[in-house]
Amino acid sequence: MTTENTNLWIWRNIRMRIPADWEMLQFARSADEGRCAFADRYRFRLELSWRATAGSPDLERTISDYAAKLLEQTKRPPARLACGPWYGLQCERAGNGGPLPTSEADASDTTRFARFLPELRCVVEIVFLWPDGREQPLEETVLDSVAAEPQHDGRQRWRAFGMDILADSGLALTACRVEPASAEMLFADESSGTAERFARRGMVSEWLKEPVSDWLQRQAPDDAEMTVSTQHDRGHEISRTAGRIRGRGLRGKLSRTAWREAAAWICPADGRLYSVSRTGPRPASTDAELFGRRLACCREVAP
Amino acid sequence: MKAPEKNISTAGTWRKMLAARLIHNAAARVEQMPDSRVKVYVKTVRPWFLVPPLSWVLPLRRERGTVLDRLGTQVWNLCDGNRTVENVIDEFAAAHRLSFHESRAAITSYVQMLVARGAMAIVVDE
Repeated sequence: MTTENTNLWIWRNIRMRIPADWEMLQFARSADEGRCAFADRYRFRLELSWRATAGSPDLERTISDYAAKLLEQTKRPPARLACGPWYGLQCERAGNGGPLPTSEADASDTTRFARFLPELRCVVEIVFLWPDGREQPLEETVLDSVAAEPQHDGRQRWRAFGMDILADSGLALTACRVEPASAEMLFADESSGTAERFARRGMVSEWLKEPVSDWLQRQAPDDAEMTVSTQHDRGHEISRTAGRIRGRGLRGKLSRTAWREAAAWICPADGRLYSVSRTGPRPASTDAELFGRRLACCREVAP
Repeated sequence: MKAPEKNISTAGTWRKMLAARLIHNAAARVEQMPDSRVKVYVKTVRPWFLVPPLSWVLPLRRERGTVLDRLGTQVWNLCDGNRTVENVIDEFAAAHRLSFHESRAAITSYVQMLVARGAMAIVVDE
């Protein structure tokens, strides 16, 4: 397994490389505790979970306790594994390790690993399912690639659902809506009224019946005063809008004016519509990097 | 570490579902519409209580029609009884530049609707 046939995935500041044909089908938004699960076309293959901890936990003891529990349940002693900083266990023909009845066709070996990521102060656990037997090189590729993603000039990087995102570090992932051919991630901070929205939409010819610039304008609230522009960059035609959002009537006069800027384009590499918008206090300088830096779609514009 | 019952190791495989074949209801009537869509009529079953004189005042529609939109018609045409669910998913994904699981989610939910309406059946080879 080489990096060419793997994809980089980044979530909650955890980065990992996974085979290109594995897709994330389940995810959690919480920074404190959560899990993401990946599947090939036939079944789940990998689960990554995280749990924030104050300090480094005693993983040696945790894994021993867990091995004892597995032994009690399956009557077969799990094998201990070591891979760099990871503490691991191998359980044969699990499916099987759990209490639910599983057919032989569904059964698979599992390997489980845990480690502490000091930069993120969290414990990361990974479960692999090996329906056709353990693939150690692939396992090592994935485990070796797990690391903390550093901050990028005060921004947090996320890479999932075909999007490469740099969101403001002060914002939390507050919504993530994923449907066939549509993924949208919203990062927001209610106290400052700032929100950043990143989206990728497919099957564009089926629903987009107007120029991208018109579509982008329609995404703005009714009370927004937007200017629209279009430019070309690295083979992409990017539509941009920027302007104030002023509340209507007395409320608009009393409340703070918000600033909104957005960009949208259709990536020629995959034919999907990418959009990014930022709403909040007007920044000191207008962010001209929505395209490419804040949201990247393909290798041509990858950060 | 998490208890085994709470993780993916207990989830099954989709292999059997993907190997199934999708066939049209042979008794369904298909009407081509002008804009490359189709309308599928499925015969309705008379409820036991719908007998004269009640049936004189509550006439039963003999068929129930479902209009498939353009994408639905594509799925309908792909489900020819020879292609497996996996084939249908792959072809739909290729036609619309979707990932496998995007296409799978779209196809399976649509097929579920067609099966519920009696327009289509799923054949599972044991």
